[in-house]
Amino acid sequence: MRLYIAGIWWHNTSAVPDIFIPKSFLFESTFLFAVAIFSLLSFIIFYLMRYISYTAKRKHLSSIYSSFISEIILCETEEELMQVMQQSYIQTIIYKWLSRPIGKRLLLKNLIKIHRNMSGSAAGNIRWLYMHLALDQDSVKRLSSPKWHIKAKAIQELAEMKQEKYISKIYRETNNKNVYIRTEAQVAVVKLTGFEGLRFLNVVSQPITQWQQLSLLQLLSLKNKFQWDKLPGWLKSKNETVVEFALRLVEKYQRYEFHNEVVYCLEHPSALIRKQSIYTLKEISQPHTAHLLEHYFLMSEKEEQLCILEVMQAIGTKEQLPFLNSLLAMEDASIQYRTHKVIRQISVPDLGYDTDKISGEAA
Amino acid sequence: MKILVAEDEPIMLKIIELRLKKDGHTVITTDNGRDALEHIKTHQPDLIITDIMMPYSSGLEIVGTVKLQQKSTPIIVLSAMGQENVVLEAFNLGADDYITKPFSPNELSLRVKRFTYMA
Repeated sequence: MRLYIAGIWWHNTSAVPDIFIPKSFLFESTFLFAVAIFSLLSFIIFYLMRYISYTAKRKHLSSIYSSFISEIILCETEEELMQVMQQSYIQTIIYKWLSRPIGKRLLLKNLIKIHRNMSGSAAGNIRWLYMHLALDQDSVKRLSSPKWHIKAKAIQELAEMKQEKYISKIYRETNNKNVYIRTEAQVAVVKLTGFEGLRFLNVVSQPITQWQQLSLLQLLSLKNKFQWDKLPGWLKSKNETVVEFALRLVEKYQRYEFHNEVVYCLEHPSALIRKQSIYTLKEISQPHTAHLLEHYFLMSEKEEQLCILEVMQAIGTKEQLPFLNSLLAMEDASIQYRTHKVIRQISVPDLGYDTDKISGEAA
Repeated sequence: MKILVAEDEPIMLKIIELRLKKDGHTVITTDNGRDALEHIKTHQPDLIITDIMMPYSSGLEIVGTVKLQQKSTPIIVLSAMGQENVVLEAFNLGADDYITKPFSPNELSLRVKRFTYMA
């Protein structure tokens, strides 16, 4: 092959046809490449400068805001709060920075962060500032944003700042198709109204993840007022995750009055709910619960059978021994092993720990 | 009373500083554990208030170091909710008191006052 580049022929031995690259093309491509590199460098420098200036502005604003927020937090009366607000540097913050999105965003972020760490009158003062600067209006405006992350953040802000007056707007989002929006909204309604907020379970058709169920349970543990009248309805909900969550509620708060409703759930088409029902029955067991579980044992799948045996270990009595002995004839080794454990536990309850150990060694 | 406050969150640090200054204390602040240990050496504070989660050296390391040096300086630990195990560890190391976030600056002021009387 021969190559003609920039007026010179370049030789080699291969039999590939000759290639001719004109001089002008080389100049043009070099020029274009240089322009591309220059544009890329310019963009990087421009972006870097912007980033540096943004970071510096943020740092400057953060330091101004920290003095401002600290002064507000330490006020003890409303007059004091108003006096602090009249200070010239705070007026400058309000007119110069709060009219700009970056200033408003940063102040909100700081207020939320501090509110999480403060209690008593200090937290009250932060909420006062939030309202005084009409930042609640800003959060409400963002509630109608088409972008999910903006909407979810707005819900989070309103809940953190205890803005109960917007509960109906937040409540509408508890069944949103977007998992992040509805998760935030469900947490918000429970944060704002406690157990009463769970009324979204009456209508929610979207699934409630197990993580979300645990978060809600954790939030509810911080509240005192409970209303159990809606629970039977939730246990019959068409949304399986609502039934699962209702069972967890019965389990955690040991609501014995719902024993029959939970037993009804043992026949639920969902295996997950049947399993949860078995565990819930353990916490609300009555004298006949173990006998009921015997009845359901033979109709259940293997995983549920193992759950029933696990629960029987805790609630079973000597009355269950004939049934348990009959299970020893089953072919499944894991059922046999678990049955042996239950029989030992029931026969010698005080040696529960030791028998476990012995069984383990034997296995 | 000379108080050293170690907290990595700038606004929290400022709030605690202002509150304690309002009560008439001299306050030294730092936002990391390494500097806190330096300040303890150089300023010999009468009371230390430290957050648990901090860069370079944690609050637990501060408690451990101070108590290892047989210093009787009282230490108040700031912990987040749900950090009971860490608080227990801090007490085992020799911490004197703790405050759980969220907290009220007035509550902090009262706790500090208790150590003022004891000093």
